[in-house]
Amino acid sequence: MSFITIQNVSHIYHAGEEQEHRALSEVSFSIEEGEFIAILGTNGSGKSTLARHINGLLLPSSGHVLVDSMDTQETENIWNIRREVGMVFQNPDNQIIAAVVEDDVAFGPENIGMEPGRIRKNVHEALETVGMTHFRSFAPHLLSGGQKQRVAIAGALAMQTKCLVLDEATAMLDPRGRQEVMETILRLHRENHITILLITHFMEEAVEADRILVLDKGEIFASGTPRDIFSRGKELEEIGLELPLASRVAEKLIQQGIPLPNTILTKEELRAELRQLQQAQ
Amino acid sequence: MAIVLQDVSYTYMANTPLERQALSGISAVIQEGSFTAIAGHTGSGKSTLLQHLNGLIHPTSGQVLMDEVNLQGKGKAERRRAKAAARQVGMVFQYPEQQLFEETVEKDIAFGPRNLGLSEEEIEERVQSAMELMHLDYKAFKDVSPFALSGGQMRRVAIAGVLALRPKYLVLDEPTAGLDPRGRRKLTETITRLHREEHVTIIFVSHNMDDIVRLADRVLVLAHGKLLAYAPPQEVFQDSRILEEAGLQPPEAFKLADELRQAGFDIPAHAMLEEDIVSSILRLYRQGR
Repeated sequence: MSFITIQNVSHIYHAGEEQEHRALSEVSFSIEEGEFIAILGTNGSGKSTLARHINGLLLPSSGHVLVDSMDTQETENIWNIRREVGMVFQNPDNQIIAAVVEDDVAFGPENIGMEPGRIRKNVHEALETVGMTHFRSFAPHLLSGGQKQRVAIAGALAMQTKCLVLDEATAMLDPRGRQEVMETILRLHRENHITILLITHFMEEAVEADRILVLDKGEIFASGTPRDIFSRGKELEEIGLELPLASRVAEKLIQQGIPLPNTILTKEELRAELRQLQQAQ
Repeated sequence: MAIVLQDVSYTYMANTPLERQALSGISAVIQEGSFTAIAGHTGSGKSTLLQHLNGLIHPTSGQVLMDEVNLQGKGKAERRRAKAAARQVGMVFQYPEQQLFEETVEKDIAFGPRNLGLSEEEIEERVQSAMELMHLDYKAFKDVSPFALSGGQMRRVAIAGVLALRPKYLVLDEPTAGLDPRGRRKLTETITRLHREEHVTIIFVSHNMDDIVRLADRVLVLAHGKLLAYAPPQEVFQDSRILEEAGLQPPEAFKLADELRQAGFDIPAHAMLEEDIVSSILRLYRQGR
């Protein structure tokens, strides 16, 4: 049994009303423990709706979401599910509540009645993991956007979450903040083996994932490794997405008759391929 | 005509323990007809600077002149002139779609002009032309609830609401943040057209250096409330000291060009757009054959 299973999930907003809107139709897929999945799709493709199903913030209109064999439809599971799946949202200012960083990270554990000694230990470790120990007694409003998002991540870690869902968590950050958050996510994935679900509009971020899921109009459009997905440039463009920069440049060069493979994803790969080509000349 | 910043400084909560100087000694001239980007990392003073451009806040010292009128008028007559001058500036804040509130797209866009006390015909004409400028079909969208639209469309409606006030200067804070690639491309095209064809002066804040290179004729770089550079983006982004001090990263295409240069490919230093790189590589490849 997979860690997270999404079975034929449909979600309809305002069912039966004039504004009825089907945001997800019959979506099925599963996520293994420790996997890093990126979810791509245009605005309105159903990405956020899907993300909110994973910790039971939204419940399916039909179908089931199972987290660690617990069904989100069953009310008695919800707190255990939320302990295992932490969410980080887009706006760093909307998810910090306490006046001191440390208290903010401790909020979740305190709420579920964790033993004080363990709270202290978890908060300390969580801040250490996201590199925010130095700021533990700061007021959150003095932090940058990237630092606030790392505090939000620490809040989930202190609950000993197994999975982090990041819903465009880097969209409002400056380039430096984005880099800080991405580095943190990658470290959590590689070193702490936390399952990551990253929803993003930045193709360069999705390249880092084990697997990409592309949503279009509430349905799964494609799923595969970044290399599979980004070798389908035309189809992605048709649904309003794009390729990472290195792939775009490679594609344009291929169109001009330069013999490059259509699987280039990163700047390093493009450099290596061009270098080879040069030596062959 | 121009927006002139003369030695502008701004201090939040002056004379309290929380006093913080957000801007110090900024002087710059933003010419009418220009396309200016403002860059700097979080907390560099960008938003504070923007709020000075339409008199939402006034400098603690120094002054802001809008087409030669001081935005901080003293006395009744001067204040009236200042208010009229500030109206030349249309402000589009971050995530402007969060400020939509009306039942229909038409009513939402008409809200500003109606507040100006214009006639119904004039209002309708302005709504129509603002929607046209934002590539929103009037007939198809006018009676739709703004909340039934996609994120990109909602943002267009919000910007149309500002354009309906017919500003000479349009100030946008992170206009493309949070949009998907297609939405981003469409919106930048629309803004470019506003500048080229309607001659609206554009001032925009962006974290996206690629957008800045592609769109702006000059970029104003802020760091710790000070003006670090005010020059064409190609010049600024070639200067790694400025980028480092401002905590900015060069455009992605510039990083790619750098990567290739280190591998011995002869890519010119001003190559900062993906098409520049493509054409440089094509040239090298054809020379090699």
